Amino acid sequence: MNNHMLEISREYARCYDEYRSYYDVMCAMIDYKKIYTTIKSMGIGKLFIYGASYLGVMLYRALQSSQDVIALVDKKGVSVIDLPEINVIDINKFRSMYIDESVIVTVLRYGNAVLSDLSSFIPMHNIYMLGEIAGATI
Amino acid sequence: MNILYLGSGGPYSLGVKKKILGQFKALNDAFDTAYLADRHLGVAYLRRDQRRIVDKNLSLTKEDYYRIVIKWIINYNINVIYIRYPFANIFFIEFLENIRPIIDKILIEIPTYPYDDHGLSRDIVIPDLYYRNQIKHYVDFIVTFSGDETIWGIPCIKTHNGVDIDEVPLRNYSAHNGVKLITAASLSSWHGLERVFIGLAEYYTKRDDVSTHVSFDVIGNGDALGQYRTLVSELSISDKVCFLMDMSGNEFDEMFDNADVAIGTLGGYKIGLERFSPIKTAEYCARGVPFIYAYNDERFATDLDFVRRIPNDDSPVDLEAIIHMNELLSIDISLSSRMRSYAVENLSWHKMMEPIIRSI
Repeated sequence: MNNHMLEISREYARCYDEYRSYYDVMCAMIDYKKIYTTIKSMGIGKLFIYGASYLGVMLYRALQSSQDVIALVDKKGVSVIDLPEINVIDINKFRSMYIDESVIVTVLRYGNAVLSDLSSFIPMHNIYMLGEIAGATI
Repeated sequence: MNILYLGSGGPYSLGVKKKILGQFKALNDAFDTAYLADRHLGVAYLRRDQRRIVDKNLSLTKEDYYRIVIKWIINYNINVIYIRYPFANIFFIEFLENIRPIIDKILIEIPTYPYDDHGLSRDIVIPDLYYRNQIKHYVDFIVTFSGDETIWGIPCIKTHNGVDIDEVPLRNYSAHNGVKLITAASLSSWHGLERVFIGLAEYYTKRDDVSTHVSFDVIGNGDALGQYRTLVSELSISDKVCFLMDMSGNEFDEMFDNADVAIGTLGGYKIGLERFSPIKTAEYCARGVPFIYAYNDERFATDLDFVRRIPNDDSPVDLEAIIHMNELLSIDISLSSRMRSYAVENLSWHKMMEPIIRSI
């Protein structure tokens, strides 16, 4: 296999995994009841949702009735969907509001960069990745 | 010496989950420290005893996952890695290449072999076919349940599937009329349950006065559920067969309390499986429920009275023979405890992992 073919093979495997992860997480997010129960069983109370894209909104919908979501956080403070009933704040406002609440990161593709940013002012034990909420494997 | 058990990435069926945890427990008892790594829904987890999470990381792709695992191997001083085969692709081969210089022993378990006829998706099969022949350059042993001496040019350690005895309660049996058959499976066509359904239909249609009533509880869900339901309806035995989906915990255990005979895999012939050691028959044994199966299983000697091996073909199950087997066994009040003792001595995960641990 020449280098060109090798790179195609690598890109194929990468994309396959990436889209599969998106698909699996979105499927798991459909079960609002399970998401709500998992969050409660993990002892998570008041929380911020990082990421105001589709997954962030799905998580918000799952937790809407609990009144535990303080705000959705987005780098630019804008959601992909109009959500009049909840604050969508930008990262600067989030920094000023944050005290000791939990944060669930719903950003997947650039998740590591987000985790790195957040860990500069939030203790790691308060940060959860969406996959943890949607269901651990073992 | 520290060992890392590397999962192939979930989601796993309940049986596979139990298997991984049973194997991990045995490794945990044999090594200074055992870690369990796995990945699901974009998150990689590293666990220690009692499944306690000691590290986690975002891992959207297998490429990310392997990169994270290499970091864990270095940070947690891992000497030995036991890999549940994830099917080969370029990232897996690169992972093996990267860990070879920093790991003393690399073992890969292939849960089912051969697997080429198992209807895997092309996305998995094509890269696997291409890359699996490179594995021999990096791996010390393949752990197999198939009985092969070598696979892909790599020497094999032969073992069998076992059971975590502590997790499986002994059945609490009370005498009753009739014969209750039971099975628990992630229903696939190779479970061959149509052989029982046809056997049941023949049993009820061949005679006018049925003295022993036979019923069959099928616990589980899977690809073959629809076709099984249709067949049961066509054979007019819907009142004899009960399909129970998604059952677990106490409810699941209680189903076995009054079961007389459990049904193991009966359709291995469809996918070329002659030699096999499924987890569920080990569990039936630990529960103390006699069972039937249709393959060569070296864990059970042919003279054991609580198991019956039937031909590995499409012939219907002979219900008369099952009823006779049950009659002989039902008078033995020590049957369940006898089966339990057999499981403790021969089928525990600690026993099954012995040849693997010795090779390290």
